[in-house]
Amino acid sequence: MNLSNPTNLLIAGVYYVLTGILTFFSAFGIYILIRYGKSTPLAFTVSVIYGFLFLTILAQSYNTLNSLLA
Amino acid sequence: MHKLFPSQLADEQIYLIIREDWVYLFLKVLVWIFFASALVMFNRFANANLPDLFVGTWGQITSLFSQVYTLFLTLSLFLIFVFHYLSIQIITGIRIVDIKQEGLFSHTISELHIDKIEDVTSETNGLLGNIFGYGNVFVQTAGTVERFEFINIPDPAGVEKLILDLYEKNSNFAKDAENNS
Repeated sequence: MNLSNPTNLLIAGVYYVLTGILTFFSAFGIYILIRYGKSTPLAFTVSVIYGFLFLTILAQSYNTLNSLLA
Repeated sequence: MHKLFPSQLADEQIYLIIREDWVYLFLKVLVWIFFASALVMFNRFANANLPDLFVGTWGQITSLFSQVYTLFLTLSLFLIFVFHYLSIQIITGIRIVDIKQEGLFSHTISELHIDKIEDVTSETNGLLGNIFGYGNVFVQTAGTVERFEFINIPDPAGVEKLILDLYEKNSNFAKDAENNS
């Protein structure tokens, strides 16, 4: 990832801020679902599926960012 | 024993667990579908009319934007489910419990003992409410929280009847206990 270019730095910065916020809310959402959902099978299943889906899309977006800023 | 709320007793009978009616959940999902379709429409429109947006550096930027937007959509759908699933009202033999998840950082549990009830009112308003049978139940109390509100719940008249029946049962039980002592 080449961050010497100000444009690249800006794009990377915006990306990290946005995904950082989304990741924080996702993690907290999973936490409260498992904590207050009393670890019922449904709460746990939804958390796992969502976590997997979120991380997959996040990884893809990170790869896209890397190839964009290369 | 799997407790639905912290102060639940081992022998406490659960009569009803209520969540917001499915129609309201469906309306929220409908709004989500609108935002999701915006992405689909953008891709279709841009592919047809602005093909340069999907080639080279611009293509990567478009792809990155789509992926971040998809993250946002996934998160919002998850949170719609979380808030719906964690906001429940529970009617037991001795109390009514109102558990509210208002936002990510606010989880409130309110309890009202059945014998503190002063008045119960149910209402069904609007076209959708009358067609799909959902509405509100208001429980007037003598406690710190003056009114318990169950908003957009299914079969509000049935819930009102159940609460009043439990109140009668509790009153009769208390009277019998007093007579026997």
